[in-house]
Amino acid sequence: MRRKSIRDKSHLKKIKVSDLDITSLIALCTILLCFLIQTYDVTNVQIDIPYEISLSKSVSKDFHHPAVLVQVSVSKIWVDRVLVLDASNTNENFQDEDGKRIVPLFDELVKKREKLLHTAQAIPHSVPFSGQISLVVDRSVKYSYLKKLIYTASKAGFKEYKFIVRGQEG
Amino acid sequence: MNVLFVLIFFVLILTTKFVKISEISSTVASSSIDSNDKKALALTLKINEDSLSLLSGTPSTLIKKIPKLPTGQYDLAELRNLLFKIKESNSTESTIILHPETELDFDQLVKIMDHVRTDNLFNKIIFGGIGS
Repeated sequence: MRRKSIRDKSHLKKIKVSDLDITSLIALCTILLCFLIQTYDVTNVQIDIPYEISLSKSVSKDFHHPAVLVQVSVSKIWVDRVLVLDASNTNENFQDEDGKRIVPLFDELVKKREKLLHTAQAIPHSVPFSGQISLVVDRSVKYSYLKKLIYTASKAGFKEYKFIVRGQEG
Repeated sequence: MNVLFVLIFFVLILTTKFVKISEISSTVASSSIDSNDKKALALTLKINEDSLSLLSGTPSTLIKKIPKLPTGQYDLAELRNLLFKIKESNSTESTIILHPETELDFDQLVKIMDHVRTDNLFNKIIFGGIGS
């Protein structure tokens, strides 16, 4: 049997190059570009919302500024994503001052304040301690509980608070 | 086929929803705000179980009591009309003290704060009676 020479490429069929239709690709890119421009957010802030928390809707358009994050569901409290209280899982009394102050939250916030003050002193030209706190509160939380949160935060040195809410959706 | 592909892509993007995070700023009431500035309006909104009461001055005097609607909702439209009238004669004032005296949901509180804050009405909210 005769073997074909490597140089002999006559057996290879020449592929005919057809015109590539990119009309739909351009349309897709245009739609994607419009979508990205529309949903672009200059703040670049991301907040993890635990599944136990459902945010309230608001017409507020104020941008969120980073601060110490306190997330509050009906039975749990997190400070900067660390669980500090699970009321459904403890029998201990976690309140003092006639039930006005939440002790685990107070202790954690005092630690945060000291850390922030220390950082502000240690690093020259750093941002001074602002005493701001971001509250991510579940929509079903009652005002009496919210009052305790605000009272506890103010006792720990955080006298300015910002309620995180769901703005208008795009 | 191409048109169909673009259409599917377009519908997918159109139905995508992104949650935008906003914030409502507030501060804790301090005694200096209440006592030092005697000329301040000291506008206070008391939220009761059956009504909203708008007060001003120190000691506070009642401006108007707005009862709940027959549907059981707070009459926030009436509150806004009243706040607009107050704002017209006190254009530089932007502070309001919220004083809920009933067990509200946070969701209801946000709705009331929205009605009080929007259109540059009284966008500096202070919660009163926190220590009581």
